[in-house]
Amino acid sequence: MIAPSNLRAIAFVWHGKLDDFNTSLAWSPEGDRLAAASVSGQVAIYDAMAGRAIHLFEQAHADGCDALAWRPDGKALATAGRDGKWNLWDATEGKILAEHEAGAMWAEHLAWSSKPIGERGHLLALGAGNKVTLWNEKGDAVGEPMKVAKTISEIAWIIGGTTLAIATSTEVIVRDALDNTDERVFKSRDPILNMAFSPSGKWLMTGNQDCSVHVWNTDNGGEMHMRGFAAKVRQLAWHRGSRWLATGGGPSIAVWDCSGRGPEGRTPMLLEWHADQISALHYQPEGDWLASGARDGSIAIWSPTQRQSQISRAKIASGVTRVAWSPDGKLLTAIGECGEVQVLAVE
Amino acid sequence: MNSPSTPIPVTVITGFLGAGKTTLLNRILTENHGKRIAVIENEFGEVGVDHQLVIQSDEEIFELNNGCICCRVRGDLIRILGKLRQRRDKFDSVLIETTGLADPGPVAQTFFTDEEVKESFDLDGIVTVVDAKHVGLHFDDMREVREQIGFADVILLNKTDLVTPAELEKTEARIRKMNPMAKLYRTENAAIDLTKVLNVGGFDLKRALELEPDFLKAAEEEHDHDHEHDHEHEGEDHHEHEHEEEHDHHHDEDVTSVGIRAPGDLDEKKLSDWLGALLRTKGQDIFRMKGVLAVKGREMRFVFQGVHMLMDGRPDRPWGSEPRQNTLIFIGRNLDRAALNEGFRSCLAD
Repeated sequence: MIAPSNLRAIAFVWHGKLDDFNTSLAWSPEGDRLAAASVSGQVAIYDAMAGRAIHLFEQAHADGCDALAWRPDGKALATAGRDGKWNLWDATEGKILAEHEAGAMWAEHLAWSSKPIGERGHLLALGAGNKVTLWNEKGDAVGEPMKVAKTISEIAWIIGGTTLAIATSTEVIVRDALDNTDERVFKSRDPILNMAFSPSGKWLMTGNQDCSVHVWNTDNGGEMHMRGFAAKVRQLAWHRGSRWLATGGGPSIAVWDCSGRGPEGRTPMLLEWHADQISALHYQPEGDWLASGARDGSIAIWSPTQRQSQISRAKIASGVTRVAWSPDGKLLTAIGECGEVQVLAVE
Repeated sequence: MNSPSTPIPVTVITGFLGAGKTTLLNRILTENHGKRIAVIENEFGEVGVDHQLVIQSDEEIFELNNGCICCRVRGDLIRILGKLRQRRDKFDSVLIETTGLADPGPVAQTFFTDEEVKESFDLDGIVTVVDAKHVGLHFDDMREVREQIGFADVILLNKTDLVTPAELEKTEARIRKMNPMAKLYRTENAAIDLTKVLNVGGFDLKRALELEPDFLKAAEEEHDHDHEHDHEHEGEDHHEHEHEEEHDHHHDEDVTSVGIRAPGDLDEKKLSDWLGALLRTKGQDIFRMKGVLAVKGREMRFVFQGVHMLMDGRPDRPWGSEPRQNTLIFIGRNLDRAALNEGFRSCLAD
């Protein structure tokens, strides 16, 4: 691709292809492997350096795989899908280590705790329907299922802790996973679609059905709303420093300054170049670059606080469904609606 | 295969518990050979056909704007359809079976207000299955039964084998009064030619008033007249009928229809003001509306259709040799016939 002279060239390092709309993408903790999944039920594990598939599970989940999560030791991969099941795969041997019913029509959400939780080790939280279940590193159930009132739209571990954040359309519940008690509940009048806690834990953001973003300051309970988005804000991406939040919700990306009293009343930085709706956003885990993907397949890399904010551009053949930086931030992967798995590097 | 630009048609099947929704659903799945259909059934659903894509959904209402009923949508459908659209080349149409107590309003509104859903799916029609034997017991005490009839594009008056011809006539007349716009078919075991329930274009402006010529009759007539008429034919149901009539007059939530047919050109500005004000103030009570209007100075017919406060209207084709006239129908609860007629007349151009 020929880039304008002020942009940096981008290398198409390698690519893979699954056979349908790609739903999920996950780099292994060491960044040596990459997993991708599609609605056909295919799951592939790639060698990130060699660019070849180590394992291809053709029917990991009938009717589609929706979630992937590497066990923190990088030796196993958890997958969940529309067959209502979740599986734990040995990432080296390609064998199934555990296979369980999730207890709902679809198993959609997976998250490993970032730290071991006591003697139990790392715990995997699985969200399916209105239930969250916990599993240990071997894939055995831990404790009783936790129920919430409505269908779960997202789950996440609060960084470094034993608490889980569970989002449904009406609330975000922060629940201690071990004793199954609610620590806090953030109620929302606008139906919630997704959520993102800042890495610092201070801010909770939700994207809502009415095309707004709801913000909670968890320190003082303050709430604010950001409106005026052209579409539902399906993408919420935090910078590692917890100061910047990037949002989709239309063809432009807004980057909000969340320092001090927060984003309310501040004008966000607008990153404008994509001609179609933003469909994917991800900040480098250890850096300052933001990657964006749009429904027309366009991909951009930004350094939002720089005067010349756009760093580079690329394109894949169909709409981008996810983008994800490798843990070291050197490689960027974009997956697409027609099964593309494209690994890129800024030169 | 559907290209991304071709919305997938969606048929909604409603009806009270035991009316025959699942029977109809299974019939469609069994008979519709070669079509790939995704089924979204309610949490109590029991599709009996070995079918690849059946998704169960727990009804979840999203309330927006402080719970205004015109802003209610179905969160569960948004979520499920969002997933289905990812595999849109895998199926040709979607069937949604609601629970017996579901309000069709939020289901319909989902397809007109949610941009993501709108982009990939078209609501083709609402099919309401009515149990001819038992519906009489529910007309008055079950709001949901009246709503489901009021919203329908197609009504299957089912289980006709379990009632007498006189009972059937009476039930049909009652349904017609609530919703003269829907196509009504009498069925046993929900046996119906599938072309009558699929691809009906119930919300398609191009087919806004593709209706039998006398569809407005029931809606134009005053209730009292109809009741007397019914009454004369149904001596043996005397007691029940009296009871029903009493309810009609005292019920604060009766579903009725108001039809207007009149010659004369309408003033565009007055029309737009009237319809705007009507939807703002009465939108909550209007389930469905459709119309073909003659606007002064315009060669084209103006067609519109709407659900609650949501209205879609545009010029469709020249009147040509057809006489210019106005045809409107409103279906809803507590409709004020006199006020609607008066409002309409005030739009006539000088």
